[in-house]
Amino acid sequence: MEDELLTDFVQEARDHLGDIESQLLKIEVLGEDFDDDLVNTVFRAIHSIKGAAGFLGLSAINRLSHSLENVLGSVRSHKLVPDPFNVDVMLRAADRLSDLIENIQTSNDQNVDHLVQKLDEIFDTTLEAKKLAATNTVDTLESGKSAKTSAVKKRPSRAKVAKTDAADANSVDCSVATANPSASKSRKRGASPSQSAAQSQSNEGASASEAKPATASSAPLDSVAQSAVSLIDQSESGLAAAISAQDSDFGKPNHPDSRPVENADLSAKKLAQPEATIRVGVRVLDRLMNLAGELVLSRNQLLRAIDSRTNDESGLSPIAAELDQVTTELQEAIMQTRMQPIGNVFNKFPRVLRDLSAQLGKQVSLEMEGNEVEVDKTIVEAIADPLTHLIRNSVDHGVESPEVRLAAGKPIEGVVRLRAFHQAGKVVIEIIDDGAGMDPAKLRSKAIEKGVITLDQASRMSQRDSFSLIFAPGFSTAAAVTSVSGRGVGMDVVKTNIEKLGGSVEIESTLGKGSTVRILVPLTLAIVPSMIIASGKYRFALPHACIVELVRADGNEKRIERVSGVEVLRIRGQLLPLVRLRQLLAFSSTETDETTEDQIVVVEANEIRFALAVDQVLDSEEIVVKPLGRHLNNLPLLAGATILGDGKVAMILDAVGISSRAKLSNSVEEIAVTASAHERGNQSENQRLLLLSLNTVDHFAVSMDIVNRIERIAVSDIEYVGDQKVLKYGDVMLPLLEIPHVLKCSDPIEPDHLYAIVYSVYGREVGLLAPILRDIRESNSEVDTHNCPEKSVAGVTIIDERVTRVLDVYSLTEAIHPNWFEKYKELRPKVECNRVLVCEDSAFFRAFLRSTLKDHGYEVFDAADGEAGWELLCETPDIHLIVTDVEMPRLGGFGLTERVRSEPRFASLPIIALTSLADEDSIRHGLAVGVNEYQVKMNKPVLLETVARLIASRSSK
Amino acid sequence: MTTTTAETASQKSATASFEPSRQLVTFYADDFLLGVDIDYVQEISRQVELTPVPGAPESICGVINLRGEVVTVLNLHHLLGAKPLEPGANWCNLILSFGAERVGICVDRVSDICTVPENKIVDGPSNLRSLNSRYIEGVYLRDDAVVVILDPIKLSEPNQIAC
Repeated sequence: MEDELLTDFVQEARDHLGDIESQLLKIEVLGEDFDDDLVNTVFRAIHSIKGAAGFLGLSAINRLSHSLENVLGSVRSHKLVPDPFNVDVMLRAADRLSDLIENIQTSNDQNVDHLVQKLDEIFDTTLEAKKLAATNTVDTLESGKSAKTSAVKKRPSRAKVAKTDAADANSVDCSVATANPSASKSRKRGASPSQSAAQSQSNEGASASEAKPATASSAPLDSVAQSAVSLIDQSESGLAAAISAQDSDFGKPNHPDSRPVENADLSAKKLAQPEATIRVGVRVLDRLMNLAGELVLSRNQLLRAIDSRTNDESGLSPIAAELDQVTTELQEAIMQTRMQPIGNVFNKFPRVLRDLSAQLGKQVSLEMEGNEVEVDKTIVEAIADPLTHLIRNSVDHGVESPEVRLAAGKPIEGVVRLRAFHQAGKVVIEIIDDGAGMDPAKLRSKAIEKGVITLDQASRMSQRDSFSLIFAPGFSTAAAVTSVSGRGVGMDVVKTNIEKLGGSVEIESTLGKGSTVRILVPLTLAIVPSMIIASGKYRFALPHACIVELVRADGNEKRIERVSGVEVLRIRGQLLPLVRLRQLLAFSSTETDETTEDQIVVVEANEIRFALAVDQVLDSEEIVVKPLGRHLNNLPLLAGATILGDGKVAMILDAVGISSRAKLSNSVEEIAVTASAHERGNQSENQRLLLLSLNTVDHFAVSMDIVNRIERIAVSDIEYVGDQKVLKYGDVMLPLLEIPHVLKCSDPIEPDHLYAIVYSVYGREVGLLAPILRDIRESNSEVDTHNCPEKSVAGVTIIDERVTRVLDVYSLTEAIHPNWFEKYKELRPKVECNRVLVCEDSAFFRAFLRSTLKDHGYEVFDAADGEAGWELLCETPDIHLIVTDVEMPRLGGFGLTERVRSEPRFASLPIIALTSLADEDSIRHGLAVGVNEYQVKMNKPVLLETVARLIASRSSK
Repeated sequence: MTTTTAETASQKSATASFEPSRQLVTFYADDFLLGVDIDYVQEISRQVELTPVPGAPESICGVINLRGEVVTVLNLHHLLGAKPLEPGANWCNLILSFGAERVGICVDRVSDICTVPENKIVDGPSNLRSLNSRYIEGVYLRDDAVVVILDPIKLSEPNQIAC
């Protein structure tokens, strides 16, 4: 019995406290002009809790709510202006109340003294301030009765009625302004011992009976009651009853008021219930949901069975159609019961934001939109933590401090907007801030520093990919770790959690303008629209959420190719790694009959896109997810099972699991790059050139192989050290070089943003400034290496009908910073062992290598392929080192190496293999056949150093 | 509820007049006659068309749809270390029930239900070395044959399967 009451109380108190936070915050915002109704609502809520807690002997809750009620009472009577300070205390009290109620059994052991004291202090100050003014009235009016009359007299109409009716004009006039403190006081003083009992009793029946004698005299007040509907409340009536019970002598003049109170209360209740509701346990709903799912399956089976009857005269079809219809509606209705407005989550954010901005000394306001958007309960619950994290991030990292904002010409107050809306069967939640935004270049350098990505990956990263870096594990952009965020955990968890829900998250950001985080979540989790696909004789379900498109390999535009031993799908000029479902699932070989697996589903998981080759795509179905037993619930490839219309079980594929099983994680680009690198190899002369221009006449190219990354920089970010331009990243400086310093050219254009092509020279990073980036191009055009009078230019070629100078960035760097190269000059070889054989099919590279090596004191013999190289090696005495390309016609670098190593006399001859982009397989292969070192083609300093080192180590032996 | 043989022994001495007994569902796997306490057997399912589960351990045959519930079917033969199951006419799934969870085991054919006095059940025999003793609860020597009694709980433990 007791327990049942307690449970009811907890339920009810939760309801009361549910909105209190947002209400208090609203009251705070409105300040002096707060909404009376709102304060009343809060007051009423706390009052009800207080009453019930007293009745149930929950002393801590009772005390705390009592003190909170007092303070709210002063606000309600305009004695206390809500301000951030006192609202803060009220919020904390409300929080504490929630805590106590959630732990109701131990609530009495909790110490609430501190908060009670704080609340009482606030309350006392209002008393002190008004004491003088109130003294007269308090003296003249009998406390209980006057308190009651005046407490309700806030509206002129009411005061007027009271005036004409019973109370004397004097007391009324005074009481409008002053009697409230005494009212509260009287409650505090006089009523407390018997208070709770009296109240709980009087809330319902007792007050009515007490009030009845007054009925006759109060008839004219009905109209007033109507107008004051919102003003009057249970607590008031309870109080009135309690007081009148105590001060029965003064009953008569007062009672007129209690009647309208009752009336108003009833009508208020009526108004507050536009729709009848009942409380239903989640478990019941879950069960209903499951049953509905079953029904859907049975319906599917029935429909199929009826379909298969060829000549149907049983009249089953219309019945089945009817059943179909009803089932669908039933399912939707039950689904509806689980839907909750997303506002349930949103509502806690004003508080989060308020506390956080205060803590960080920032001014941030929150705008919310789409509170009414409904999503499945499980999603509402699961989305709360990720959202909180993202909002904290926006305030902490996004919105700048007031000074910074002012300096940037922005309004001091930052705005975080939270928006929810429906889009294409999903719910989109956006968190938008107008803060500093994110700098993709900084994110990249940070990621490199943290070892999240390599230089190479960074150089190929798009802006969007760079933003996604913040979701990488172990990544945090905050310069300093604050208590709020910046611990480097969390964002990856946010992403994982959202993806667990079948959702996705993406980021947009404009430097200086702000960032937008967009989350997409499905409406519900229990029923998943999926594509049914076949592999061998089994069927699988693949959720629509992860499917990008369905394609059939036609051998032309969309075709499956094999590149570096990996299958890829070429589609619209893009290469996607290909996963064969049958191979992946590794069903026993007996089932692999001759099917082509040419139906392809393009799947995206974790922002990794890949092609899944399946035998057949059958149908789209709304499937009900069934859990797999405990033996099977940890399988990486599967997200569960479902039962198809024919009663067979189908496994639900997990796109994320598939991509990680196929080791696709983040390697899509790499595969594509390896693939294109491989293609380059095939066409031997091809190399990847980065095309840049200074203006309309001066065009340059830089080999992409040596480029670490490319950064877009604002001219305003460029600083000077001496007369040297630099870009600062924290403590690190990136020296910036300009082509016109070395080469003759017209004046470069001066845009707001420049590009820095970052490469390394002897372990030092340097940026080459380029006003215009044109393209990255596979180029096989002939490079004229003879006609280049200028140093720092390796050759001249024509690309897009433009004369383009291919830069030797190392010579260029040396021309500007000769001191960087000085100590490496000492690496010059001894004259007796300086003969180098160069095998390279590209005339451009051959010339480049020849001149590079010659400049450094080597005697160079060159050959256009391995076969020619071999002949040269055999007929030339004392070759000390071979530098060879890997991909060459006739005999490649590996073939050459094998042949060289097979002769004992060349066993210790150092061989350096040159590649454009070394992938691990080819490196392994090379080392296996006897290559000593791998070098990137255009990386002159490292190449020279390696040549010198290998020759030295050999001659020392 | 199953009781161990040790407990049964003490029970027996306490209530000598009443001879506690157990009912077993017996069935064949490979050439072995096996038995499981009837309390654990929910039903015998003739639906043997299994859906294989990619990536599942060898000890799992696949899953079946048991009236809307996806039930895992264990590969009993593999667990016991017997010869692989050869599909035959009498092949069926024994559905074992553990509270809310159901697990199936694939058997060659179901034999019958027999009542076994507790005191006739003896500990794991040494002559059954060919079967994995981990899942064997005891042995009952019937007139015509040996019934190997399996421990359904151990049988259904996922972590055991990994071994």
